[in-house]
Amino acid sequence: MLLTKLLNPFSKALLSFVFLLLISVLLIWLLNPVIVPILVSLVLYVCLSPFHLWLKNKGWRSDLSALAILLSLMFLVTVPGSVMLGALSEQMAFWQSKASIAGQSLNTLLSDISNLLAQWQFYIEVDQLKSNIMSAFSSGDKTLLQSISNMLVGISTSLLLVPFITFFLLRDFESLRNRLLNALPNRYFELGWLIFFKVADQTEGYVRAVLIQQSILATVASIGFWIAGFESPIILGMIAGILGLIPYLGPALGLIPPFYLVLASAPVNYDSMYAAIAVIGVAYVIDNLFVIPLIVAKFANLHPLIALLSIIIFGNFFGILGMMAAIPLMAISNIMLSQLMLSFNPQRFKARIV
Amino acid sequence: MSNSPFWHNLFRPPHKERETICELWLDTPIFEGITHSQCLKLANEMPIRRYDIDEAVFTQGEVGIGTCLILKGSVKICAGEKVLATMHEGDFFGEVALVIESPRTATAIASAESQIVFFLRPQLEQLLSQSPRLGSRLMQNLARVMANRLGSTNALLEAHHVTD
Repeated sequence: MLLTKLLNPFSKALLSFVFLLLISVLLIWLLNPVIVPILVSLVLYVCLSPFHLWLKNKGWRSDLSALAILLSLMFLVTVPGSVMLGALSEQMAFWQSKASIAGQSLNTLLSDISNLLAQWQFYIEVDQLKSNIMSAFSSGDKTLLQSISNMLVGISTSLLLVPFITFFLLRDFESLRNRLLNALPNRYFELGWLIFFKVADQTEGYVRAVLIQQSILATVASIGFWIAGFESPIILGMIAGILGLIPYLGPALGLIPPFYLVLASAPVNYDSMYAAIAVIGVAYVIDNLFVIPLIVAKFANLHPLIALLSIIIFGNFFGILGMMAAIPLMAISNIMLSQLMLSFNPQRFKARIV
Repeated sequence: MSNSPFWHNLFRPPHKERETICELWLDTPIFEGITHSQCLKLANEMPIRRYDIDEAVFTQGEVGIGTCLILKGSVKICAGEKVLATMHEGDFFGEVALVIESPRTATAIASAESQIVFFLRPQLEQLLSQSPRLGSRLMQNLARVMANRLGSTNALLEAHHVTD
């Protein structure tokens, strides 16, 4: 009690933020074995909850509405989903088998570049550069293709849990939320609801916006790869769309699979490399000029430097998933901290309103 | 321990008082023209909190998220040391927070052991997007309530000015 009286509003807000952060970290640590299905279910919940609400408003019982939505979704997704996953893992295995050809082609390409640069008195160590590139695209003994493939396979194996979690989220999320927030002491009750609603609103908006953005990106890239004559344009487009979830690094990472395909084909057609750069370039120009400003920007208003640093830090600790989650997590932290600051220091609030 | 508001807020049976809450809201000008079933649907989502005597429901300057209806007990509305009004069962207060995110303009303190129902701003916003007609009706009623309160505050200020 004495401590809270002695602390200034900024320290109180910071302490509360650290407390909430610790609880979140503890929760993530406890849920670690099932974190992927929970995250997938939460994304599904965000996408499906408007339909659930609509059915409930039409007079449907909550459990029946949740069941109907899930059954319809499973019917719509299971068949094409299993076909797509099968094709994807088959394609990955095929690409994997061409790794040695791709390595040789990369060596030749780097030697050509080295000879070209040598004419202008620039000298590079080809072997060193090759090993740097290979290690940049590998983590431990896994190549980037393998880690993407493993991630997708990991998600698909935990898909068994997803329908159950999504069903209970659709049916019980609101009552669970009410019970949790009712556990707050009276003093923090309104603040708790306020933070919850702001975070939920922002996160739901961000997830929906990013899903739309990635679908547009994947579609544009797929069409581009198809026009450029690449084999498996839909899979290349999908990979570009998924990697597009990683801000700033997404375009470069999206170029790796088509480059790999070009290098793995003998003889190497360098025009296809330029075509791949053009496809990814056009897809990201459309993304950055139209899709992000119109759909995504309002949900993740972060300074570019903070965004970039958080991607690097989260990526270092949690890999590709960490890179994808960095922006929404930072945006949520930003809302929580600023709301706590406002609540513990009403003068700031008055100043903002004036 | 069993009498603590914390345990009561956590384990209180959720649907016990919903009918009463609905009846009380329907008696207020905010829910004028709203049907019983529409009101009951909203009342089912409203959090209920229990407050001990002399416990603050909210404090002046803090951010508010909704309007409060007294289900049981009484609440005094204070500005500093001065008691502006005492509210009883069925009365509502703090309706400005239902419209905009703003700091509370007064402090509300439970003057008896009380149960308060909160109608939250996000609930109203959700209603506006899902049932615009019903939502706009509530907004119209709210505007009327606030206009009346502004009118009576102006009259009070005028009377104060004349007395001075």
